Amino acid sequence: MKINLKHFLWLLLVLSVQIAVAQGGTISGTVTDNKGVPIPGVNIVLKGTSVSTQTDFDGNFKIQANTGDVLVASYVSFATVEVKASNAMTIKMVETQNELEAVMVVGYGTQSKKNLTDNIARVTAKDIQQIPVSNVQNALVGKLAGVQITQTNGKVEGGINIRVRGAASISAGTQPLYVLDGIPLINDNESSNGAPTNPLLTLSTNEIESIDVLKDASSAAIYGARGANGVVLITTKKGKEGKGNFSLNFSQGVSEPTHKRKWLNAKQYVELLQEAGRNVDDLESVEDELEYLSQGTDWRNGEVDTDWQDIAFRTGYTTDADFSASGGDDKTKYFFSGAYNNTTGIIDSNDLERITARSNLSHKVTDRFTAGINFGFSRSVIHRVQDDNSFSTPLQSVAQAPISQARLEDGTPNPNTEYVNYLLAKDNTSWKTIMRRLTGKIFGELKLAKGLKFNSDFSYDLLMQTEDYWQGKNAPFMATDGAVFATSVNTENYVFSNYFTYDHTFAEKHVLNAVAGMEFNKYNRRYQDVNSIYFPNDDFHTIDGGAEVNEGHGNETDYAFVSQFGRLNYSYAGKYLFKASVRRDGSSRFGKNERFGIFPAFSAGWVISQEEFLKDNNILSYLKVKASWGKLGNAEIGNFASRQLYRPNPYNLKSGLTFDQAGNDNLTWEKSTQTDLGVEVGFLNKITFEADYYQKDTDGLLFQVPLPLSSGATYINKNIGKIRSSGFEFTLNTKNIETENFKWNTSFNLTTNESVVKSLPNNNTDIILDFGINRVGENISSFYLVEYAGVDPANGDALFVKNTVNADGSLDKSTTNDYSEAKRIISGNPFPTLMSGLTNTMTYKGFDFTFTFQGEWGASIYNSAGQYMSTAADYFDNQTADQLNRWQNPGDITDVPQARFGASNGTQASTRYLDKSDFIRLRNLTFGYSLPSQAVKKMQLSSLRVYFTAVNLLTFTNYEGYDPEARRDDSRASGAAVIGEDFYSAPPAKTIAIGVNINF
Amino acid sequence: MKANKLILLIIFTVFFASCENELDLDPKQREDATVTLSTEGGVTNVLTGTYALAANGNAYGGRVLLYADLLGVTGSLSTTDLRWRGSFGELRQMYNKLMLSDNVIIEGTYSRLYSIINASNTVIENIDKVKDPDKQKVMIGEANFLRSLAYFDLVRFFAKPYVSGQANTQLGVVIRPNAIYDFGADLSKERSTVDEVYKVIIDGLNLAYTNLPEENSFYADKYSAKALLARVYLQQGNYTAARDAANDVIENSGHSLSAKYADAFNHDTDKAEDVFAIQITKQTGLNDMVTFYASEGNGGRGGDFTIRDAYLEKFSDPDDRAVFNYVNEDNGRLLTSKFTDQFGDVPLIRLAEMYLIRAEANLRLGTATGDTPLNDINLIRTRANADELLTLTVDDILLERQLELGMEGFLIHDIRRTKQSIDISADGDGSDLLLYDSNRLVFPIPLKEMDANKKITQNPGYGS
Repeated sequence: MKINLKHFLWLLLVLSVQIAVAQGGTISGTVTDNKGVPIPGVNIVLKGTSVSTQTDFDGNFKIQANTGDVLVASYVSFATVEVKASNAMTIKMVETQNELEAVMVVGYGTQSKKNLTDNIARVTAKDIQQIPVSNVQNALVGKLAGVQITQTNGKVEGGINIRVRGAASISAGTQPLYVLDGIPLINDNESSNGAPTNPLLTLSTNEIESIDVLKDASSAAIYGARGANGVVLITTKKGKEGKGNFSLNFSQGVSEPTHKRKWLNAKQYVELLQEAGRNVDDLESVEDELEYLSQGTDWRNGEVDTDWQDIAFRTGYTTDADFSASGGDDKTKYFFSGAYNNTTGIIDSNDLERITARSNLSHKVTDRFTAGINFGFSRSVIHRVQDDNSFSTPLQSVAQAPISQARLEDGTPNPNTEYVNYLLAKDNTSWKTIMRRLTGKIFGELKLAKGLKFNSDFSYDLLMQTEDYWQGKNAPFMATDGAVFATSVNTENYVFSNYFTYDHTFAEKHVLNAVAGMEFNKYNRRYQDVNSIYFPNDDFHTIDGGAEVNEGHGNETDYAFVSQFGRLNYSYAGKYLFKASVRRDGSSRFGKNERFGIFPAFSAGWVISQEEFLKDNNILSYLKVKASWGKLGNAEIGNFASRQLYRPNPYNLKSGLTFDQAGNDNLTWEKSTQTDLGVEVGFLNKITFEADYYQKDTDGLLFQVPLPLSSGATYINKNIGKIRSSGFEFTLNTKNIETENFKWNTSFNLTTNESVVKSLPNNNTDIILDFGINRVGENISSFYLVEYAGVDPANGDALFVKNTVNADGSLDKSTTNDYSEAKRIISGNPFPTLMSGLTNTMTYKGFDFTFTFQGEWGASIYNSAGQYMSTAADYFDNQTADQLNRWQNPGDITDVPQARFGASNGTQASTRYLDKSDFIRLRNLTFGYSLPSQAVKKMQLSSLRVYFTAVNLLTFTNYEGYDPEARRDDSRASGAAVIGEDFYSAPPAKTIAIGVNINF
Repeated sequence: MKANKLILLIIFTVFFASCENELDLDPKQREDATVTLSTEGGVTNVLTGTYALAANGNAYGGRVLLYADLLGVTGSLSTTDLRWRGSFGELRQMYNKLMLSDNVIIEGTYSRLYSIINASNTVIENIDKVKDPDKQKVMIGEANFLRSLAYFDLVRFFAKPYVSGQANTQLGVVIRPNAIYDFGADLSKERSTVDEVYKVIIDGLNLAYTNLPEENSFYADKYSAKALLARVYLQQGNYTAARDAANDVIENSGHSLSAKYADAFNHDTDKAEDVFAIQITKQTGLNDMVTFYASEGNGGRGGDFTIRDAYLEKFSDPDDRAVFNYVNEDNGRLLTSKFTDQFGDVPLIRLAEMYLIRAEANLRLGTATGDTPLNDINLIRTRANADELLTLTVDDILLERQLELGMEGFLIHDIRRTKQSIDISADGDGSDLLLYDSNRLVFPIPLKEMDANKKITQNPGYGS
């Protein structure tokens, strides 16, 4: 992988190379690393001139220079060396992990980290490859300061939430803009079954060279109205000049849930329910139902004891196989890759199979003109289960009584369970989603004059998804002898970008880089579905099998952006750095009066270590301070959110129209203003430390402001309200040990975040949605619940803190057993306030060992299924094992109230079901061994590595639910995903895998 | 070189100019409200759309009817007529008479009924777009009918009961006298009194009666309005008006009882007995009566609300209505046969109800308008092949209503207007009575309304 990185950078260098001026003699030589391995692509400059060259694939170079001239050899992640020229010379370069030399992708160009005044977090291929997760985002967890990545829950296709430096929005989109090789990627959840899918699971890590996350305004402002949530730039691999390289990787793994909960067994269940019935003087009803649930088996003596949780989970498997071939000559570069992933989920009936392929080609047509194409396609087949709020989803099986059989003698699912038996869905339904994505870009680069070039890119992204939901005759709730629901959606996005880049150095000290251009982006989405019913038998799984096509839908929507942008970078003597950028965006999404926005950003940096007084300081090897300010927009407000609209709503097959959306003519993008202050320090060339303070103020927040329901509408979109997200980010990279055979590097990051509501619509009126509240001065989307006060030892009543306001403004903290007397209070934060990641990498001879710990603190999760599963038998749902601690006798001290069947003793929404979700997790661990090169050469390979890798191996938490990363995935009535709520949600997978990686 | 640059510049400029026009996009599945409300077709469609709102599961597709029986039965295993076995906790709250203000099913219905009201108001206020004055009249009549229907269920469920013979100044529900177009304004409003809400309902129905034709396809007609008016007057204990309204429907509407009891249910188009029914098709509307009362094989959830012996014991033998039920073979539950067609219409007003109203009002008033109470009741009983009664008391009629109209959304309203109590004690020994005006029989104002409407008052016994 390192080879590929080098070649990529080398390609970039080639693109910016200036024609050497002929001069006296020629010097030739070789550049190697300290083990004597040649390094291709090293930039060699005759000091003080513009004469330069690069080494070829075997590390050889020729340069016009005379013996005794000084040559400067530089290459990313190696220390720059200056040597006197001599013929047939060998230049040894020492590898450094010097982050400063890294070339960052910044949008419409690249920039070296040392000249950067932006805040960009970066991972490269080596950080993410071979982690056995089915989506790219999951491989990034814990590795990027300021970037929180959470998969909703453990389903293989589960939606992903990425928050860059906390939330910039409450109601509008909060996901960053993803840009792959300059193509803004379609990232719409197109799931029809309630739970979101991750549209980016069509990407494979094996084709990705690097991922750069633009976090601050200075870097993201070039993406204007779409940059407020950060921008994730994904760069795919490219070929490099030299002998072709062929790489193969294969791995296989097994998965288990990170955690299972404990439930009552049959004996405990019966005991608790009988007690609950007796306590309300209604044992008869309870036993009547137990008779029914046990269907003639001896429930009093535990004849049937079903572990329903075991039915929901299973052992998962992962298989990854990928290859890549890359290479090129001085004119043409190529990269081809293919990857296969097969993930059998830990949840029953949930799996994923994906193939991806990519080819990246570029050709130098003339000295001045280079053209190329990047093209990728992928196909992902996902077998899905119902969303978390569906009775027939596997995890809701835990609600079934353990005295009910799962299957009857004849193997068919038992139909007489308390809730519909999930096994009926397993045997008689299927949900197959296929996502197909084509992403392509054709590009040309024309050198117009010295330092001036013109780039034109035309890109296209197509996401085609079909869903097939089949229900057989015996499916739950089936009355039409089977039903098939089929959807098809095509979403396409095309982008035409044209921009000029000008690079010039004046008088050796003034370095100027300018970019100016325009972009047009159009998006279209077209959706259709159809449903058919009455099937001859269960062999027919498509629409045609049905006797009646009873329902169909079709719709289309689009948006467009027209943008102009410019950027100017200026540095003086490598000491003083300035940057300014601006983008003007117009979008069809905004109201006519608010159609165009201008997004400027400025930043500056001072590399103090370049000053004379520090230049030769051996301890403090690098010191930079930087500051940036800029404005960004968030255009993710929906395509027609400003309009007052009616929708079709027919009655008895006659056309009708119904009010659909309250309009607001002045609706526009959300405006974020972000300030960033940072310092980068390097010590002894071994330790680099970066610290940043950021403050992101979002104004004109889009709100679905709830309306009194009695108005006939439920909400109106408004640009009112402010939030502030602020915090610190620290990154520490150290080279702890660096000897010939043993190397140990550590990378540690820590982020704090506080996202506070500063103002709200209607004179700062609280906005309350379900269990959440947005209130001025409080964390956004705070939990808002009645405070549970445990159990009255005298009688077993659940108690609540009143929290009514006293005359003096304080809260009445006395308790009551009458729920309606208690007021809700702010009781937690769904977002972490502290996040951290720690990665250690060690190599010893052929062995390599890497592990990443990840931690989050400050968040809570509300278990909204608690009112069913942790109620001391308020109903027939099986209960969590902790309910055995219920109050039984006067004087008992416990926090589980007396078991009272049907009496709602403490089962109301309250902090009883809220729990802190702090955790530390061994996110991944990889142990590899590369065979000695002599041994490998005998096999005619260039390298062979075997490895063991694991994800989520260990989790340390006091959280009582399944897992801190198991959150409900159904979209409920509001349409917005519920933050920080668990509802029969699956824990993520714990996966261990072994693999082999071969290079030819 | 210069030529190259020039060409690039030209391309650049031309491209820009053409692109900015691309920003004028319109939604393809929606229509701007100003467009909808500016044409006759648009306003006409909004009226049809109002029926569509009513045909939702959480309104007259079924749940508004279901609630009345959930609240009305005792909910105690040994005495209850119907037993709730469904898994929806929100509905179980009604069965147990322990509702919470965050009950999302109650919220859905509240919200839906007000959408009907705002849509009706919108039709009325934009009626000038309709050219034909006759059509205008009909549309105003229908809109008034639908609005009164929604207010009537709002005030019956969300307010303390109307008590006959006194000023009903207790809080009713929020009245929205005008359509709302500007949702940016402060829309907070306190509830009006029960009297005020009843006035809106009755005025609307009278206007509907005046405006509507005798026949209006499956839409509301003159007699739909009158029949609903009879129901409203009965609820108020205004027996004279109730009797006359019911009599008008019986005498003049042209509706007649179906030959057999079973024929009154499960059909796709209105039959002679249907004074007003919500139309359900495979494409539009949702029959939630089937959802909760039917077996899985009939498109339901297996029978969430099942018939118990206590109900069957109320019938004398023979009686077709006592056996108008079936056992769900999957789970042994006894279910009503009234709702077995998933795509069948939901009968909202059957003519049988008018006979029951006329009989009760006549009996209470000592009159015999139209016919004698005994004849009216025996007409109903004979149709069900039950023995004729020889004498008649008010209690007999109230019982007859339970036999005839069971599970059709009448129980709690009858209990409240006749000031009966519900015995929720485990043994039915009268040790735990809920009075007709108990706080526990009134729905909470939904928490979402409480949170967004700063002027509204919650019902007693509910938190916020």
